[in-house]
Amino acid sequence: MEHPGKLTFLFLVSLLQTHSLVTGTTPEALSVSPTSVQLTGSRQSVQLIVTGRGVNGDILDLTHEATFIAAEPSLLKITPTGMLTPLLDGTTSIQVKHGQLSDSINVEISGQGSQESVSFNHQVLPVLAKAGCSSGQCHGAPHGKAGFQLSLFAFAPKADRVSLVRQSFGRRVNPITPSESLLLLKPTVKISHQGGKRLETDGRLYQLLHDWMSEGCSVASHDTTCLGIRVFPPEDRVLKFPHIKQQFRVIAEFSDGTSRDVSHLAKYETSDPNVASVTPDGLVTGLGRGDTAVIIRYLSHIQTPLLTFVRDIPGFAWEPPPILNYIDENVDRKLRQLQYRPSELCSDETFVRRAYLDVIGLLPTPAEVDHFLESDAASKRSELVDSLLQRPEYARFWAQKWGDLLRVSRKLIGGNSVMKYNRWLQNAVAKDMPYDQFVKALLTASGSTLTHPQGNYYRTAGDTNDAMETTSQLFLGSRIQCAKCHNHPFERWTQDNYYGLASFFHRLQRRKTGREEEVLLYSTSNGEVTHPQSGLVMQPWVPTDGSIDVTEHTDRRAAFVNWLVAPENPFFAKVEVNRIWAQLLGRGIVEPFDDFRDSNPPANAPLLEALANDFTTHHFDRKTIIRRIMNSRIYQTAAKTNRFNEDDYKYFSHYTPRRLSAEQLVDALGQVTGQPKTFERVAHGTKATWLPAPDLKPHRRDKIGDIEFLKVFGQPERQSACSCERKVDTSLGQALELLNGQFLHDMLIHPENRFRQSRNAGTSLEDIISDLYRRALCRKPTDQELQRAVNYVNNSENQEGGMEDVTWAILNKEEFLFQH
Amino acid sequence: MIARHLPLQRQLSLFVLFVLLVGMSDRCFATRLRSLSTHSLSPGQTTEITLDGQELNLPYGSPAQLWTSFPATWTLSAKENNNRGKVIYELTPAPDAPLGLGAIRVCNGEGQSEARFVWLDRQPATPSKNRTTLKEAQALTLPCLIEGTTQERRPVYFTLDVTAGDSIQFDVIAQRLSIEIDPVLSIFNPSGSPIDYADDDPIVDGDCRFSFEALETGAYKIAVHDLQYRGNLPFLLRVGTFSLANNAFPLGVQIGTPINVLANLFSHVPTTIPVHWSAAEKLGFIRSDLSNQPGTTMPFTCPINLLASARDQLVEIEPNNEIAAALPITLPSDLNGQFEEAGDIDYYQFTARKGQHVTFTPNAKRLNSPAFPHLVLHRANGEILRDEINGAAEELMLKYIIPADGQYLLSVRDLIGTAGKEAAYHISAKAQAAFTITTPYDQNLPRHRPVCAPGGFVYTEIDVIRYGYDGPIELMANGPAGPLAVDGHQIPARVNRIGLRIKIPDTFQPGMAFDLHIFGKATIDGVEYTRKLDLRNHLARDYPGIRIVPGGMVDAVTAVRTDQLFTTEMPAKLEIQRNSKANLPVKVHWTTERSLDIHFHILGLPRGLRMEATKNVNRDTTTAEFVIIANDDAELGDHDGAFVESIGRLHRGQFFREHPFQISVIGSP
Repeated sequence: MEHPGKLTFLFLVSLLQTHSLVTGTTPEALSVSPTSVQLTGSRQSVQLIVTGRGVNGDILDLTHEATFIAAEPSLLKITPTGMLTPLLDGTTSIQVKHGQLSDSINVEISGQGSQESVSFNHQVLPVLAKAGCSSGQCHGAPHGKAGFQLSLFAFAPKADRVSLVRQSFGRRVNPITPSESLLLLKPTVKISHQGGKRLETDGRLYQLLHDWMSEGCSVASHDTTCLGIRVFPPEDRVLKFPHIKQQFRVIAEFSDGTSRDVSHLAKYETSDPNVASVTPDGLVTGLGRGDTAVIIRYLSHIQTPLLTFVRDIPGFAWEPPPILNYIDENVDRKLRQLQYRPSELCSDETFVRRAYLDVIGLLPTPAEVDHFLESDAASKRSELVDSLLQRPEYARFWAQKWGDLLRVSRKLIGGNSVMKYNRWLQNAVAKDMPYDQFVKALLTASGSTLTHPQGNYYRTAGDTNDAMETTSQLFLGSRIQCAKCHNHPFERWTQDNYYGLASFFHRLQRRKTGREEEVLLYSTSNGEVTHPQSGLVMQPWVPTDGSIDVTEHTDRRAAFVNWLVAPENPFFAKVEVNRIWAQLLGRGIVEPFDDFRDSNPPANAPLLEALANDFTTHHFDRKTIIRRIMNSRIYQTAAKTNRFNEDDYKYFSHYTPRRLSAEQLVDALGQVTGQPKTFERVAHGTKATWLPAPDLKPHRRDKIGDIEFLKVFGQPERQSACSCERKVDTSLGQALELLNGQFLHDMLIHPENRFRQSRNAGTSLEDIISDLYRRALCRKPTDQELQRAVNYVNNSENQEGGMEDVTWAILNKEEFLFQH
Repeated sequence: MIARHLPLQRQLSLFVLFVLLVGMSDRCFATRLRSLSTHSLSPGQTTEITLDGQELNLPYGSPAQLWTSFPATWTLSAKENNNRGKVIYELTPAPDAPLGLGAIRVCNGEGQSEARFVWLDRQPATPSKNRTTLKEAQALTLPCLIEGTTQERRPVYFTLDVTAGDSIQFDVIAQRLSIEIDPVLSIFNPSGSPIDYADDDPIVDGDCRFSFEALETGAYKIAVHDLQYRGNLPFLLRVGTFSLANNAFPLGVQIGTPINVLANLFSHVPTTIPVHWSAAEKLGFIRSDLSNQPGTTMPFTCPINLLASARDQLVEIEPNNEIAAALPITLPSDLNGQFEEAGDIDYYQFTARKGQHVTFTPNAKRLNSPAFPHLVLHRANGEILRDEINGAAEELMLKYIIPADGQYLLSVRDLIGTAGKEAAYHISAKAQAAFTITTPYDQNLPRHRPVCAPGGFVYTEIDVIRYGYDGPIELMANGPAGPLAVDGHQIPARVNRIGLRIKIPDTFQPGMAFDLHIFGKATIDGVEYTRKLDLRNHLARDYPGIRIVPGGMVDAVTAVRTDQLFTTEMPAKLEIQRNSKANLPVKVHWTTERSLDIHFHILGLPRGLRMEATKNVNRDTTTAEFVIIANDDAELGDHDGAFVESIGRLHRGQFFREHPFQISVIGSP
């Protein structure tokens, strides 16, 4: 560990450097953006942003608190929210005041003598997007709504114009009387509209549509192209209550070199509605503590500035907790900023249970618990982690996690292949195969899938698109599927990107051989992906480098993998460390842990960065990261909250309890009752947490009604590469299974279960109950618990029945069912 | 005979119908060989072997005989427990019996069983004790060959004391014996933790091999189990400090020329081992045992596969990775190459004339190479003429008719990027029209092991695969004592399938197996060209996992003459009027006690005559009556016909015997 003093210093320095921080309440200086304005058309406008600077250089948004006074009021109109629209040609200045502070900007207005025509591409389509008309839930759905179809977020302007102007016999527009057109009657609910009211008749958006129709529904033949957008403020900001508002301005850049304020046409959302809300005009208001990305979209362009809202919590004082490694530093920095006080360290009893379940998927035996508890070594927790990582159960359990993601199932690849693939995964985990090599082996697999079981990756992902989408989701953390048919609605991914990535996998051939379940994988030197709309051949493309050159006769997958696993790849390491983090702490730093996107920012970006660096530096050794996390104080915090962190759900100020997975629960029940579940087609003694696939058991018609315990508790079918397929929630069915289901009942009444065997061996009732607690909860019962259980059994009609009840009660405790 | 009177197509359709009828019966009492008590034999040593199956030892008729692909003597055990389902033999392979894979069949008066395979090894086998826990693992003394059986849902454990630095090899032989098991071998360190495992192998497919270097001294454990944890499946486990050969380079050898082959030894650096070939060696795929060669001291049988040819063997000379550096060859040639590094590509240049049928036949996997040679034919400027990319997976021939006189290029690269000394290939390059002959594959009708009735004949269909040659092909058959009479011996020009009848002399005793060699002969461009029947595809399907079947099974049909079983009696002549029906009565005299289904059929009826239906007769029936219908256009006069009898699904094979009779069509009254 580094020197604590040095760490503290670095911590304080970095705290100051993290963001432009708003702490003061009285601004010392004021500035207006932009510093000067030129308005050259009658339809232009500018959103002013007024920023105050506190005594410590802190920044706060004063746009909605300032007053705006024009020297020549007749030339323009300015709203209290800082939106400036021109009226007449001329030059003037605007004085912006806030308290004693003021600033002024010059405004130059021209071109007001003629009416500027409405741009279909840059105004009409953004209006339809902003009003929600072209969203996926409305007319932007694949087949539209109520016979009216628009492309998703104006992805296909030509088709949209045809749909608006030509289809439905031209009834949607009315150039003579625009206000009588369906395009305006529907969204103003003057006639029935299933989508409700989307426009106000006195609003600017309404007016734009109206004017476009009155101008003849024209589309400029040589319209410029929007190249991108800029937002102001451009940097991530920290806002402190009560100054919790932030106005945004959006400027679009066009191919003719011009730029234009499109704040009123952009669409705004926040990534976390619990943290902040945003108005259609781009004013964000904080609701709670935390981070949120503001998703600002204009046409297909997106920017996602990050806002952090902090609040002074009465009584809160930061009491520096122990720092065990950089994870604690990074998390503490965030917690201190948000004023969440971290929970205490968990007890040894809790830690040993947590560590066993996380690393090997099983509960520790009483002897293992005792061995750990009896140790006085200061490093006993890290020693336990080390010893668990060396156990064969670790490889089996973590191979099962990979099996979920890689869709290892009998249905998809056959019974033999499942066993071989699973064994390959186990071996890779057991031998600490570096993650980059592991991914390389999967993605560049060639030859027989029986000899090289990792080649089954391309059997579960059975075609070009599936292979690309799976690879993207698993190793880039991007759910790119949407971009197959249109540009991604929430991300920067375009359809070109989708097919550019797909071209890496297109030349892979899968050929069945005469041997059962065997597929021969090989790459050809020809075959190209073409764009479904343009028909153009798509060049291999990667997110950071764009199009890349692939040598003739080279397996293109190798070129992709070389890019993917390169240490400088910003996605690769982060995705995996985030996955490991989520597997150990129940929630990813990015959550869902396989959904990385600008609009879903990490809860702690520096932490993610640090973990990724650590991972890369240590040659993609997964055990290093597991150790690092489990040896951190953050992993070892108690689940019990304090009054300062009880509402924290994503910044890791306390451990988040989570239900045991289906397989962990089955094994745990078997361990406690001494009646482990047996499974078909695997070796005797195989645990549920080692099962190669969920469907090894052959389907039996006579067992259709047989509810399978594992399925009820969320064991995935492994039909998709999404982590979401494994259900982690609780349900009524689960409660019924535990309360009166056959599975648990059979274990409890079994004549040779653990407590009956103990009883037959002459063990005292107290010892039997104590053993039960230790096995199920890794702790001894309290005196009160023990006495109540003993009394219950002794007062039962028969003691065996009483023991069944006591066992049943313990197995239904949250303390048993949850990892905490 | 009827064949003289009927058009070929009609004969063909009738026969197809006949085969379908044979195949439809459910009744079956064939000799079947399910399992062997041991799969390991040592040359010169007598082993008691128990054969388990069906109808192995008949209570009457011809006794069960053993057929082995290797020279051996055998006696039926005197033990009393021999019965229909189980017979015990004392089997002694000859001291010079070829090592490696051998085949065994059971033959009797009702036919022959499918083959089962044994491993002939210098190292005698030790039985497994079937220990299913690590604690009780069976101790091994190296080297050893264990004859084991998988246990349901549990591995079988063994333990061996190893000194740090020792190199130990493990080899599980199971699928190579055509046993339906997918063996997995795991190894545990002295503290009982699993450290590695072996599953499918690029060289031995479903079997597994493992080379292990001990890091510490102690008792290591190994475990063998079926992938699906099925029990009762046999396997052989060889353990020792020895080397296992994958293949040799070059893969092709010239008969009569002593050569040194570079044996690519599993887990060891390639070693040059002298291999001596005599002029008596046969052509085609052969198996050699490196441990039998001078200068080698391997305790185990160490078989490698080679391709023996009469031609000189050309070995590629690097660099030939560019068109400009293409290695000049003349056709025909046998090319031997290696993919030394990933992405290696070998170019060969040759001259060909317009209209020549060039063929390039790759061999790699069949010769224990992990390579998948992908062949492409180019013009001299590199333009692709033919890309046989899919053929690489199955080692299919690249065929092409040369469009113009000139220079051409053949490029060879590995389909999946395999590289290294072991990644070798052999290509047989020819420039002449050609053909091969085989028989159609039918899972229910194994034509490579037919039966025939006394007084009957072996009937088989012959398929011709033509490579540019469209002319007629003469068919011939040789039995153990020389040529046999064949019917339907001429395959007409442009015809690709024909029925062939081989008359079996009465001197052949029932229950004895005999090999039939069938040849096709044609004169192509003035050169006589002879091809043996090739059954490789049949055997590959029937015995998956076996790359080269032993004992000449690839080009020989092993037939068995049955006992009489039954005779039939019927009129020698039948008279029928146009526009009427006539009955043909048949009496059956049973000589077997078994309940059989017999199918009767009439072949060769002239135009205008037809049989109402085929007849099935069972053991309870001694008579049958056929109805023959004459249309008003039936040809008047005397015609030859053949009444054919068979037994349903006898040994999943054919029992084919015919009785010629004459049918006279007379005019309407």
